[in-house]
Amino acid sequence: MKKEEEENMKKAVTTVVLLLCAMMIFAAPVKVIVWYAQTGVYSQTLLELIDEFNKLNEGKIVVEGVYSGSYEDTMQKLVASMVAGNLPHIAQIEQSRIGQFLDGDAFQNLDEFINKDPEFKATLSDFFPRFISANTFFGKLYGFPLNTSTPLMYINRDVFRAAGLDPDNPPRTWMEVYQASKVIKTLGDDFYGYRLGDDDWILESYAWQFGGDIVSEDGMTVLLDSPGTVDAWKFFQKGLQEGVFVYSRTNGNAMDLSGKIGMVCRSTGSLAYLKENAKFDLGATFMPYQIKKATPIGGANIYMFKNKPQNEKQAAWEFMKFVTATPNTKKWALATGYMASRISAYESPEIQELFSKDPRAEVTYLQLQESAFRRPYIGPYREIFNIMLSSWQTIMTDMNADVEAVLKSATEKAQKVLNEY
Amino acid sequence: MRKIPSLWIRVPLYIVIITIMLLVNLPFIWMLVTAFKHESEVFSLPPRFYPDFFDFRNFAGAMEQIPMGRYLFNSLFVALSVTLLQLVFNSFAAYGLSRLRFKGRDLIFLVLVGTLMVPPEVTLVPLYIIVKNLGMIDSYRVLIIPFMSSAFGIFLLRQFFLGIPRELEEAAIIDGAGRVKIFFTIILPLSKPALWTMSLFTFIAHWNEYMWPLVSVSDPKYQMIQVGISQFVSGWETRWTYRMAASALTVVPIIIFFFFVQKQFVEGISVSGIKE
Amino acid sequence: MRRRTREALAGWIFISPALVTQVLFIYFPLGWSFFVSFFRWNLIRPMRYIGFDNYTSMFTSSDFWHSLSVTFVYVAVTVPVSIFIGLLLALLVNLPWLKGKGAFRTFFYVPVITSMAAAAVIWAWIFESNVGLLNYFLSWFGIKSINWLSDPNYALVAMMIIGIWKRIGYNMVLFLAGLQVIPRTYYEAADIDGATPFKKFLSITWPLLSPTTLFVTVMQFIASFRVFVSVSVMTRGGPAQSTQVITFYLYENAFAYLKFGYAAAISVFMFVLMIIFTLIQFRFSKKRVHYL
Repeated sequence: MKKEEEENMKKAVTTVVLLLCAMMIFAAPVKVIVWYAQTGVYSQTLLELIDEFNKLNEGKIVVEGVYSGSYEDTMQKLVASMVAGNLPHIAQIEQSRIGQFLDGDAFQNLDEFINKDPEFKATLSDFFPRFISANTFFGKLYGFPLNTSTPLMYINRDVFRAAGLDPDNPPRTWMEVYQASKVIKTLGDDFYGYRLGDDDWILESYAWQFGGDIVSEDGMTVLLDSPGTVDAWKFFQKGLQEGVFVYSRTNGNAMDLSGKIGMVCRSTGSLAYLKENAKFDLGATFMPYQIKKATPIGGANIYMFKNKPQNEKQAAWEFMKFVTATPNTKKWALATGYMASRISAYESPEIQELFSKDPRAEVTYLQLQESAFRRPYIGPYREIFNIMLSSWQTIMTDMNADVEAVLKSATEKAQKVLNEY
Repeated sequence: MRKIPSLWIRVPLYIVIITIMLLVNLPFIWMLVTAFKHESEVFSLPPRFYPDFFDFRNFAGAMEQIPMGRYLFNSLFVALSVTLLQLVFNSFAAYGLSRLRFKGRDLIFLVLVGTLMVPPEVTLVPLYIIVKNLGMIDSYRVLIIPFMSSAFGIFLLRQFFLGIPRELEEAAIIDGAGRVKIFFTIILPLSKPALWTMSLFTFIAHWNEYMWPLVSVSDPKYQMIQVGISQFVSGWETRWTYRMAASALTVVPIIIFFFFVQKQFVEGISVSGIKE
Repeated sequence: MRRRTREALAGWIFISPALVTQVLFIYFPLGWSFFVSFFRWNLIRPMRYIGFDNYTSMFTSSDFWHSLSVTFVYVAVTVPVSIFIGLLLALLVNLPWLKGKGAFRTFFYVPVITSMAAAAVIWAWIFESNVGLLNYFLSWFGIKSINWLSDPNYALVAMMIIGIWKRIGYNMVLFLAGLQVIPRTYYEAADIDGATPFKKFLSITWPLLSPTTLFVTVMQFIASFRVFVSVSVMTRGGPAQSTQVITFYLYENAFAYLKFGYAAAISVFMFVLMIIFTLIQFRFSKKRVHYL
């Protein structure tokens, strides 16, 4: 009968429409938001990777890259988003700033995804072990390296030659650096052997290299007044007092390029920039040590936030895998000068060719395997660091400051902060 | 006829003014010069005030790296909208607070001026929560609506309105004009310098906004220029030439605009119509 | 309706749009901060009520008092100097016989137009100890290089110079607007009486400029108190805390250390302090400000 037919028609149409809607909802690509804190060639490369990923996952996943400002500005944006419940899926956060997120269980434990993904799990050992251990907290993996680096000591080979020093045999210990600086000083009053600055990771490593420390392993005691740290700071202050070292807070870059500095420690990421802009013969070697070989792993890693719907996190996981896959980490390393996170990328012909053309680029990898350590990351670390920095600035600018006394009061202050946390 | 003082006074004064002007503009000159240099020339010693090459490529390069056109448009649109809205709301409020008498008027004025004391860092997070709940994130609205009025503008205009001789209004009242009419036909026309001043300050403040757009806008479609320019800063490896070129692009148009408009501040009001 | 009531009603209608905006977008956030100041909160772990503890920590913290004193020094220097120079420039540029007024006005205003972020970068270069412009100029006079931004004794001075530089054009424009309202007839009358420029300033300009001066002073005070961008870009509170102004102290506690409750307490304190100072200024001005 006509009425029945109509009824059935209606039912059929409704069902089809519903099915279509359901398909659309399921078929609608999952959106993943990734915050990045870099600019220039770094952001360009990341955005290219994002584009590639989106093409590969057309219709299924769409990644949107959002510029979140500098490392500090990123914190501000993160804070606001956190309070408003508007966090991204993945954020690039500088390694020493993650403590409070860890303590508050804000990050996603990546082991959960790795264990369900045997194909990826098999490739875990392809990552440089030190990167993995640097991202493992309380036995769980929380992040992947994105733009990691270690500091190199750059030398001005022309200055070395002019001073009668052998640029192919650069100093390996701090004492040797000091001796070399004395010789370089004879070139003129405006020449300096070693340039000091305020870079946080380099400051930290000074302490380690002299056998000292900043915070204890268990994160409960401040060790700024440990003998090693005191020795390190006394050493550098002495160099300043004698005029063989120089300290610059804001314009280190110009000084480094000026041709009057013999040695300086900077990120391996600076290699490309320095190569392009230095008018002198640039050398790069290992960071010096005195008692212990220790170099910090620097840069930012990518972390996933926990409080997101499971399907979105799954999509974000796909992107994390993509970005750290061998061809992509290789592309990243080649384009930006930061390190590739995987051994297979390191061993690939393109990267090896890079080394044969410029052996300076390999130093960081050798250093990584030999002496790299994870930087302090505990919750109140930024506040403790600022106390340390303030003390450092005091002894760098006041030649009469008593290193022991300054460090002692800094330790007291920092311990209070730690206790109150 | 006003006397023109002797050359002995005029010449030194010109010299003083010009010297101060050059000193004050030193950073700006440096910005322009750097915008034309090669990256390697930027930090040369001793400092050089002329580039070796007159390189327009920095401007092109800067525009390539970030969508400058879009950012500039956004900043223009936002700054203009905020300024126009504030012109209306601030002047209304200032008039109410200066010429109309009602209970609690001075307390409200204090409350309004009080908001000036609140540093933006304080309101950043809670404001973000509010606008998020209003669904304004990532749009022009979030950059405009919270700033529809400003205590600064109200304060400025109120002080100015207070300086307008009451006799003018009283004459109109005697003639039977209503408050609103007085506002539009007497107060506003007389206040052109202050209105222009307020507009200029407001426009520039919002043109230069950085923190709020960074936090409240993620979509480059709506992002503003200062956030865009910050993308040239990358630790030690900053491209100063691009950054200066981009900054110059944000400053020079305003200077040109200001130059053509600044007479408005000074358009004297001949108040000789007052009978003492 | 009686005229009084009509006037009051008109008053309320006139101010309501602005009032609503301000309350919603500034006072609510402030209220939220006030509320948060009684808690211990790092945004990730749950909030914990601690009563007035944040305030006691604040008042017993040497860092807090230090940053207050740094701020006070900064304000005490920048406010009078930038007002003085602003007024001077306004008077100069307002001289009837001066040619090229437009250009002068424009170029004195350039620092205001330049965003502080961009300007700070350039100033960092100017203040640079070895290759900076300032030391280069000073060397012409035989003055040795000063480590402007690295030396705790000079960093704050550098910040003050920048702060003053940024605002003199602003104050100048405000004073210019105020100068225009003063009827020329007064000056003409004084000329007839043979008054010197100085006397004219003292008895006509200064008194009639007073509403503007009050405004400029209050605004300059607030702006100086709220100094942030230059410090954030150039010194980050250093070296050795010598430029740790209160806004930066607040910023670090909020966004670097995530001590949100504590930062909220600081902001409440700042707000109250500013109100008190503004009240004082208004009180002080009651006898001295002349409205026509």
